[in-house]
Amino acid sequence: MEEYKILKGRGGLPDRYVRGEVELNIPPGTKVETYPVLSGDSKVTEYFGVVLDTPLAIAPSSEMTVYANLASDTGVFLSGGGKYRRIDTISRWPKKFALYGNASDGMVYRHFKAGYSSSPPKPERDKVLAGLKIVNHEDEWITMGRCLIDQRHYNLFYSGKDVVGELIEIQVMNDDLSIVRLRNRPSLGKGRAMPYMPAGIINVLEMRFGL
Amino acid sequence: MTLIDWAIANTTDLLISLAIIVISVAVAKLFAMLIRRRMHGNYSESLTKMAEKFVYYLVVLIGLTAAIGNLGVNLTSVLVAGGFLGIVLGLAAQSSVSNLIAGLLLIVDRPFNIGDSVVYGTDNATVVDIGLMSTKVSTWEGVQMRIPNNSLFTSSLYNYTKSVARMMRVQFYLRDGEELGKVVSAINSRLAERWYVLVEPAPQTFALSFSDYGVTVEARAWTAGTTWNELYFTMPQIVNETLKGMGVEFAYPKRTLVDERAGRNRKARG
Repeated sequence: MEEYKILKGRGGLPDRYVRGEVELNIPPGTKVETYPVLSGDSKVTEYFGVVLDTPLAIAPSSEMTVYANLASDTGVFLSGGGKYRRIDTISRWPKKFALYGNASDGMVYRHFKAGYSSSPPKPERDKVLAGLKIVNHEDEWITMGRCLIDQRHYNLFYSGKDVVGELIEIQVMNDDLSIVRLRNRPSLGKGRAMPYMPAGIINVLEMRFGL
Repeated sequence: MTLIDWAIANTTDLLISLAIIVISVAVAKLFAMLIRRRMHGNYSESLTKMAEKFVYYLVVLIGLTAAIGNLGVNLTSVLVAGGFLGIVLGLAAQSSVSNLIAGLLLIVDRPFNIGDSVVYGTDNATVVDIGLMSTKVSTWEGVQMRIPNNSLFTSSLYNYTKSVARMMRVQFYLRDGEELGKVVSAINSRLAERWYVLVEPAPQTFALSFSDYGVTVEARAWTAGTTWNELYFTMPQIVNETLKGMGVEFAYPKRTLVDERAGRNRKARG
């Protein structure tokens, strides 16, 4: 992974941010800050898919919470006046994508295969801990293989030294339809939200082609 | 009284009418600008342009009517004369009217928007402007093409931008005797290595049919709509390099010629 450089300007010119082919001016009064972000590529898709390495079975009319470590990248932001703008993303993860649903009506998502457990796993480098709370409203057993979230609205939190993701709640209505809500609070304990995310947004996404 | 005499006698009215036209054009431009500012970003680009043009021409038409009325021309008689003229023009302008209606239907139906990649006939192009009468596209060769809306509405048009994912297929021929199973798994795994090839649906390679050449094999891979170019420009190369790496040769057309005088068979490549 190529690290970035901040080049000092001459003769009153603004400083420059440089990383590989990415190069841009830093306007006066703003500064460059880095924060962890969920891994993805916004040029391809805004959706992140947590693909469970083994499908998870959930009993009828019950709920359960599992934890998984998800891939994270380093987002480079310009900050000024309390506003943040992402200018670059430094990633250590090879990216793969997959199609959910069909080609005209579905979604392409960042495909990330993750192991899961009922207790929080140990923190890992370049990963964030995320909780998935699954609520089965069906009178039948259901099997969950994946869950999609809109990563533009997915909050990350500092919890001590670790980075914890927002709690993801999956309401299973029937075999085809599930509603995924980002609960706007850390998956575990308390945490301080990343400053680049606007506060108070509860994002809802419908998965209409099953789990 | 000649036209010049009439113009001299009615100079003031003529100037007022001219002023009305100039003002109405200015007001029309102002209204169009306000509509563009209000709608831009909230509605599609094509609908914004259409509304802009509609308001512009409406205001200009009102201005023209007022200017003609100011010159003392009886608008009723103009309209009666215009009625007959309208029938004549209507017959002559049938195609224009059908283009206009098709343009309005295209706005409602929205099979494409400005900036979409489309295929019309054999032309790959990007939509540049959707007008009331015609749609302008820019072909991949950079040539601007104007298509009457009626033609667009009644013919097949492929819109690639609307697809979130697309499949590409590459066909090639393998000689009899080549190990198909190994070729299939090698091509599938080479395709799956590429970041822009989707994990689901996974790449597929399979024997499609048998021909004079040998076995017809088809490789299929899916990619996101936004990464189509990456796959389009590399997939044939990936298939080719994989086969070369395995030492597998493509099959070429074979014909068996019988030389009766020589009394023996000769194989020829062609």
